[in-house]
Amino acid sequence: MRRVALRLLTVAVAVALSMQTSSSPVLAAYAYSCGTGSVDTNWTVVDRAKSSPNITGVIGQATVRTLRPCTSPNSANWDIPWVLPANLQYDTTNADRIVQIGFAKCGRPVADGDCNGNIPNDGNLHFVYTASDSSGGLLKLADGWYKAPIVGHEYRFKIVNGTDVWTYCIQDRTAGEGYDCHNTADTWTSGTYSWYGTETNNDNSQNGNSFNESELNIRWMQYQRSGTWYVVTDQADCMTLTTGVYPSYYHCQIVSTVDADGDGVVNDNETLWSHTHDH
Amino acid sequence: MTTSTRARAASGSTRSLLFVALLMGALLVAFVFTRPHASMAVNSGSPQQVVSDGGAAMPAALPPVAPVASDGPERDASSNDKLNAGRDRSSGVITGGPMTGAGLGEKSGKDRACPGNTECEP
Repeated sequence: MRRVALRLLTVAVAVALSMQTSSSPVLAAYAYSCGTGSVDTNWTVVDRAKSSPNITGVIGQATVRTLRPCTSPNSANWDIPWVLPANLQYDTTNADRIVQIGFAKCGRPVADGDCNGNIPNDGNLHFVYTASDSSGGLLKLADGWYKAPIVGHEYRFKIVNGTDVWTYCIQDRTAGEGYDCHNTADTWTSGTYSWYGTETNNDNSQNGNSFNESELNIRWMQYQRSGTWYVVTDQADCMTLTTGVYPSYYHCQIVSTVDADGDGVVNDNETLWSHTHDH
Repeated sequence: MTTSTRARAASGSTRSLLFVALLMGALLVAFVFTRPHASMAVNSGSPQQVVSDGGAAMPAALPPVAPVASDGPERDASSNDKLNAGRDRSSGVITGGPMTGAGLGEKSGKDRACPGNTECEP
């Protein structure tokens, strides 16, 4: 009888340990099939600032990581994950008025053509920007005016309004380079909301390519108002927005190690830490 | 086997079964109460988790990261009507914005002006 009891005990311990180990939450290890994922929009965002439309520029900085759109796409269900360190929109009612810049990876079926008309599904990351400030966020390829992204390099992204133009700039900080910029005509000159974040449009897409690459950091989040640049400071939280069910697979956190204004609160030059949970 | 021997054997079996049941119950309770919650586990991620993926942006030399807040507030479709217009996958277009909805732009903070009317640099 004791032998039986000992065996049962051994099995119970093994099962308990197995459950304990396997159920520990982990960051996402890989993307899943588009068809089994909800077509949700998942955002991790820091945003500024509600006032009259007087924000004329926006800056964000991020290290390029490999993105992973959901797998086995079909014509009706595919994704292109966005990392958008700098965004400025006019308001929340004129939905077309927004300027954005960042990088992405197209996951549309190759046979169906490019994403958004000119972002190829070639397995590569691409810098993207809104070629029109009234396109509702129709991001296009920036290859014509900037180099290809280099994974592991940190880039600063900037959009600023000039004389009749929006100036989009990218700077490879890791390479120690200056800005390379590109102008497009403007139809509005200042916005109400600047924001900084990531976006996927299928629950089974991932901000990263492997277990330890499932997270992204965006920092040096800045906006320009009345000619002065401000860096987002002392903001306690970020937003995880999703059109899908709770909980989202995407989470965010504000982290910082800087007390630049000397107020004793170590959250200046904040970093938006965005990460994807495993499913 | 005498009656008293059978009784002792039966009593021993009962004790063994009770022992096993108690052990399994204790293991179950221990499992339930020690299993880390998903958000707890991620939120309590060591600085290494942040540092390791930050590349040059978050070098290992940084001091321990002080989380200012845990996971941000989750907002579902009812509180955030992020426009899905323009997200017709069959058309080959997924837009990157805009965002709409309650809460957008309402965050306050003591933003720091960058010196010299230039953008802030490290």
